[in-house]
Amino acid sequence: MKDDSKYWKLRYAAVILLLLLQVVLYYWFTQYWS
Amino acid sequence: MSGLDWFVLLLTLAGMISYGVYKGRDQHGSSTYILAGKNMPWYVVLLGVMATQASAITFLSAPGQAYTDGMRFVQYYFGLPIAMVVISVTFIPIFRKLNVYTAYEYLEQRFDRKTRVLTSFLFLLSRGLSTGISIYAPSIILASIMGWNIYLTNIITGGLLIIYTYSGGAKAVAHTQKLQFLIILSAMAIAGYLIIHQLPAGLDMSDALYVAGKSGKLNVITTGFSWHDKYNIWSGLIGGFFLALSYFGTDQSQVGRYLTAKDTKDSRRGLLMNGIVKVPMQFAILLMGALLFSFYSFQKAPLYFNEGPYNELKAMQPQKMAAMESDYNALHTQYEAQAISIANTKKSATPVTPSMLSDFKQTQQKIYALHDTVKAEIARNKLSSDTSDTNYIFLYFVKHKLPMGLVGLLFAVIFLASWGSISAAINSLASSSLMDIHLLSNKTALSEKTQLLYGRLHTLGWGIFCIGVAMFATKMGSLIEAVNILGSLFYGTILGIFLVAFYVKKINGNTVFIAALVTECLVILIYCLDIVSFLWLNVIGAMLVVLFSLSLCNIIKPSAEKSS
Repeated sequence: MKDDSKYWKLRYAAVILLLLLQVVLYYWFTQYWS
Repeated sequence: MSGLDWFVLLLTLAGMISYGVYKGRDQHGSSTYILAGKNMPWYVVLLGVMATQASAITFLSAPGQAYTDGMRFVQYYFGLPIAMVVISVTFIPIFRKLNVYTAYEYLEQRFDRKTRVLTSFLFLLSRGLSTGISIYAPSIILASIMGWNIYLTNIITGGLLIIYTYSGGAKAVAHTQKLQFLIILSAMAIAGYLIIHQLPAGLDMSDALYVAGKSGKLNVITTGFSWHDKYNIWSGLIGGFFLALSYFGTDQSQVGRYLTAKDTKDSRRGLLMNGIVKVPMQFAILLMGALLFSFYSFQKAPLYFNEGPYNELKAMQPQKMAAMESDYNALHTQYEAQAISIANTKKSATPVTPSMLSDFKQTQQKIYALHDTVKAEIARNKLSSDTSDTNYIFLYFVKHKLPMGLVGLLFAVIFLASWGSISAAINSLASSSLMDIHLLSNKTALSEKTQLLYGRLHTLGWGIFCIGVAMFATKMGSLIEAVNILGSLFYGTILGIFLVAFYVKKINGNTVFIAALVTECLVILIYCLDIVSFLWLNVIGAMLVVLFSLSLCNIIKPSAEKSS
């Protein structure tokens, strides 16, 4: 079976990075409209 | 509702049942009935996982929650994407490799039979009762606001889905969930658009956001910490992570969804995509609630959104209520003018003065005080067993502000959202009671046909049980909260058992079994003493099982035989 573990690690990292990005955006959103 | 609305509602529901029965045909045995033949693509897994989690209450309560408490509830989901990664790395490969039907089957292979049965029993107890409540909760809202019979509404919410869940099992559940969720998202998007579209002339979305923000409704991130605060970034990230790990990793209603994927990759893709889209979706639903707040600040809102008991109260106390309504009308006219003047400061680029804001909030407090008086009167006269008015805000808007036809579609959405989560729950309850309890005691090899028959009978049995709980809840309104909390009491312990199974190889079945029992008693004690908010109970439960298992592993010896 082809080893695609590297691509899965990238996908996991992308999910976590997107979460962090959202937290930053939501923080900005909260500050902007408060 | 108009005739057209009834037509749309009934057509959607009948269409969904027919679609489920059609898609769930060709059942051969337990593999197709419980695991849908393991051939679902990742997007069906994604929509199934999302539809299972999002019940009708998600779409009814969340906008109301933002309307009253602001958007900080979204933080509850911040731990979810991290949990999706952990489950993809650890849980999925093991479940798939061992080719299990249920998550608890793995525990017998790793520990022993009694640990499997204990965990399965905790799941059946909490999920069975909470599914009954998830039938009752939207039913009471629909019955109250529409004047429908609650028992009949319970049957429609929890009974009709049994037709396709019974005949088609996991395959019918997966396909109907896919369609249900697409209809739900489209209808909610249209409703969201119409909230903005129907703002008074001269006011737009940014004005609505401005007023909502100045009223503290756009508080998505709250950084303060308290053990008793349910929704802040810390409880969301840590507590939410453990809750999502328990729910998606160990609750058969979710494990059963991603085990239907055609391979490990598609199970992972479905869950990771859920980790990406879940938080924005929840943000959008809450944003609708915040916009509704501004919508009803700029124009007349009812004193009480739950019209059924409110109209009864008005009929009982006509003079008192007329006087109260007159006070309310005067206050709301003042409130509307204040809201519009705050919005106008944005247009003229002048900052809102503290006095404007405090006047606005003062009027708001006076309105809330009147609302609380009505609420207390409704409770005192026992006019409704549901005294939470927030659940009715979104439906009130739907009923009074949406065009003909769309009202029926939105009401259908409430039923479809219920069906999506309840059908998955009933399917998982049947899978677990069949595979983890019934067939364990049946020593003879059963034919595929007999297994299918048993699977269907378990589905029917759980369907009747859950409707029974919903009917019972109708009579015993005060028990609902207790049943809702039941899941949180068991989730941490179940997760702890799985964490030990996956990550601490030296622990045997007897050790984890005793650790789980001791932990469960402690979690119940912590809950009774009201030391922390419920989100933390999962963290504490999971950690205690791991700690006790590590402490006891040298004292408690393994059984001579692994499976007894």
